[in-house]
Amino acid sequence: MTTTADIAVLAKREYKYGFVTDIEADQLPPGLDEQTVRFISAKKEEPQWLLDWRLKAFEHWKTMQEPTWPFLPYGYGPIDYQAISYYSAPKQQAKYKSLDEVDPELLETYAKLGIPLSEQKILAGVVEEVEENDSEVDEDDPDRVGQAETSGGIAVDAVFDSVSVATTFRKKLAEAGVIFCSISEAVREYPELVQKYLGTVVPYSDNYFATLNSAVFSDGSFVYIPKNTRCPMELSTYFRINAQNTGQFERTLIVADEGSHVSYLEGCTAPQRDENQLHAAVVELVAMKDATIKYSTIQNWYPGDENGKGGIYNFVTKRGACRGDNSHISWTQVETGSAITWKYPSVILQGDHSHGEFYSVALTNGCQQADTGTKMIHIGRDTKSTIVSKGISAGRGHNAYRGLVKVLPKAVNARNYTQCDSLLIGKECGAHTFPYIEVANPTATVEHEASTSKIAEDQLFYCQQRGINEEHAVSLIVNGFCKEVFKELPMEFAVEATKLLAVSLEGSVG
Amino acid sequence: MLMTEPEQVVAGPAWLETFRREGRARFEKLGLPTVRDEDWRYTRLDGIRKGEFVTAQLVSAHDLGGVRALAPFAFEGLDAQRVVMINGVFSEELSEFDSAGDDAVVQTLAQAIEREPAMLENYLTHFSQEDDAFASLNSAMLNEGVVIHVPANVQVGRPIHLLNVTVASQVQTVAHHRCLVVAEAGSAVTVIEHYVALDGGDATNNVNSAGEKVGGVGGNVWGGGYFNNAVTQVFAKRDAKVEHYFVEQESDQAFNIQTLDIHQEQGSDVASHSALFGGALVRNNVHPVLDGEGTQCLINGLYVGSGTQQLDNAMRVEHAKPHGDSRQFYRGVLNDKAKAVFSGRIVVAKGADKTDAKQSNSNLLLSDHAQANTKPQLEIYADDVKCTHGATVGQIDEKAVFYLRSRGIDEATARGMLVYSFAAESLDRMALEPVRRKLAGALVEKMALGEVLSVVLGGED
Repeated sequence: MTTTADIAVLAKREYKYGFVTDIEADQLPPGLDEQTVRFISAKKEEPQWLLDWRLKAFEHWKTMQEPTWPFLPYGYGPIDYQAISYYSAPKQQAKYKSLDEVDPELLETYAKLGIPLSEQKILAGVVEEVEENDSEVDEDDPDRVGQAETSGGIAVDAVFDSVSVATTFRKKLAEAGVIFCSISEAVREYPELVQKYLGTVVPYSDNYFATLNSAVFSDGSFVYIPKNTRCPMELSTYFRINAQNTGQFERTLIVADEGSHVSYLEGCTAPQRDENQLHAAVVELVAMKDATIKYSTIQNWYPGDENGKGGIYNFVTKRGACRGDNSHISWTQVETGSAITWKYPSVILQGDHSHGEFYSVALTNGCQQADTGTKMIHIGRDTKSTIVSKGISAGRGHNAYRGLVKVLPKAVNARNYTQCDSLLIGKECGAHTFPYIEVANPTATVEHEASTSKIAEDQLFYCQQRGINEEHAVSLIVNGFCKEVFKELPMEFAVEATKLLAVSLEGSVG
Repeated sequence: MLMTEPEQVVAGPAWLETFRREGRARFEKLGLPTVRDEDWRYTRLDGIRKGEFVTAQLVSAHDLGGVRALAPFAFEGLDAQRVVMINGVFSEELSEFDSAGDDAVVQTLAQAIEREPAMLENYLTHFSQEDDAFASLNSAMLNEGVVIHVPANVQVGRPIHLLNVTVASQVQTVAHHRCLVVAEAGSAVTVIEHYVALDGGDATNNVNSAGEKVGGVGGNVWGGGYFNNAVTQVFAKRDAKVEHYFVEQESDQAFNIQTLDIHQEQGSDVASHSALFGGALVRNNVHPVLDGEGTQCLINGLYVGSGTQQLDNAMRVEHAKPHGDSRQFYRGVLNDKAKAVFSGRIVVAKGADKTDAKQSNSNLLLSDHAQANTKPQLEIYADDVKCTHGATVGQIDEKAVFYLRSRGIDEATARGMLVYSFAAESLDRMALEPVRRKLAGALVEKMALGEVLSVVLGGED
């Protein structure tokens, strides 16, 4: 088994000696055909069944059409799937040698977010610092040390472009029997577990982007929590897209066995680039009897500039299956980045008394477009779902909530409560709500409430009258608007989310 | 088969020919929608697609048995003008309305073509649902209809009861009704569009010597589904007030596609009430455009389904100008295997500030196999607005049943009262008491809400 130390050493060695030829080979030239799929699979030394699965997905993908139904008033340019490089391992061609070379605007943003300096370097693409990924606990940063002491630390699996470069806290997790590693490693080390669950929640034929992901997924995280185990710490991945022209196709699979509990954090970020980059990830969650999975995301991929140039296309399929009775899956997302966000974290409530939750804050500013929401499929008896969605539109952004609550005939006593509120800031933006409610059982109780409004003038006046300037007042009111969602986030994430909102809204007032 | 040749084509000026031709071209281009169309995802049109429709035969007033045959369809206690269409064709004999020379409020399409062709062309072509297949089909087949043109500042005292009667037939028939309501500035009018069916069992209750039920009209019984494809256009000018009712009480053989297109000018006040009781498949499109400042619009509806009825309501409220208020309230009661759809969209255009839009849809499921699909949607491009929507699907509250039973009310009556009170919220918004009363009676009878309730409600007379 490769340990954290090994990976760190490897990363270091590559940097130190700069295997230029090897590294060049580590990025596939743009293009997609069967050979691409075979190359990725071979590169990862995958077993035959996985290659077959990938090829099956690829064959199916070729027969599919790119969907056009999302509500995107500005549309988006055609995606040239042959112009994307489908595999890129981290390499030593440092984008920047030191922080001095990084765009100061970007650094300012990070500083505002309170990201520690070492982490800033990583986020900005200062490749020198890759080695620091081996430990999230940076001794120089009192905040982090404090967290490590109080919350028992956060285990990080950083997905740097396509390969997971470092995994921390492996030992502590291993003691608890928790498996937390990159999915490629899991395929090698725990093939039977991966084979048992991969594609069972999001089948390879699910939708255009999920099918593409199934064929070419490069890496991602794998988590397995054994029976009756409470994961001793929060698990976290930092996804980022670094190289130019690379799509990010991660695949995450989290399995919580009977009676277990896990909280998983996902943070996404990408450096500024002029072109659009495609991000088509798949996340599958499986919760067995009495298990709980809490999945939190903060997504601040590069949103493009104020004229809508560049930015990430975030087309992600996230779905959880509450397989066993009394299982519980909770999605929390704060979406402030990406040029286009298009995702619907869903829960299939199969087990009796299972419970699905979705808490979301989606902010669009500039020319950002978001079509996001959730699906709650009630199959078992006494299943329950809660949806709280807060959309904020500013600038020329368009924000759409799209959700489905489906109660199947056997879902006796199903219960759903949905609240989706939109806040409009400015004259040029749009807020849209497209809920679908399909009920085929009379014992179901389904409620949907939605409202759209702007920040009330009397609220602003009240704040300003007490000496809070307009921008802070807006920020205050917006945070109040999002409070119901933020309180679902783990503490350190909630702090980051609050700051992120303030930064994202900057310049949208007045 | 949907484009049949009527027995007597009303000839018209050149623009009318163009209007029909364009409608035909659009329909041929669009084709019938399928469940893959977002607007039709819950409603299959197989019955209409497979239908072998022909134009219905002309049935005279005499064949029907005169005005007596229409008695069951009257709103008791309502002094209304009556305009009767039999199988889609205007019946002068059965109609009774105030027609006095040039000031005539009500006229047939043929009369309007003769008297005010320019007015007619102007309004007929001003239609906001160009991309709708059924409305296009209706335009293609435009031949019979009613034109209600209320002069400025005229308050029409007697409501206008448009009674559309389909007579039982051995063959599948189709009719394309068109109704145009133009309320000039400061005028007021109430229009009730009422769809009913006449067969042996329903109205005249003929029983032959062997005790078998026979048709009321020449012994006719239903030979297959029939199809009414209607379009109503309402133009409410400045400060005009229009109240429109769509009452669907057809037989279980009916396919009924209704499209109500409303255009509101400054300060106008329009109410649309729909009551869906009959029909095998009913699609109720309501599309108001609030195209003036300070307009008010109420969209109120009740759908009551049983058997295998499919009741599909599609609302689209467009706020185009500032200070518009719209209210949508739809309630549904569903039993047996009935399926209902509510799809409501509020669109607030850029610049339509101070819009206040509300939308609510509630569904009561009374059986294990009933189904409700609801899509309340908001599409907002202005920031200074107040928009809310809500939707619920549920069943009778057992605690409420217990409460009533603990006070000595038997279970059937208790449940009946709860269903009634749920639906009555919709009825209570209707201004005309006789219409409310008739619909309350229809509700109690259709949902079998119990003898006690029917006696209590009947006692109001």
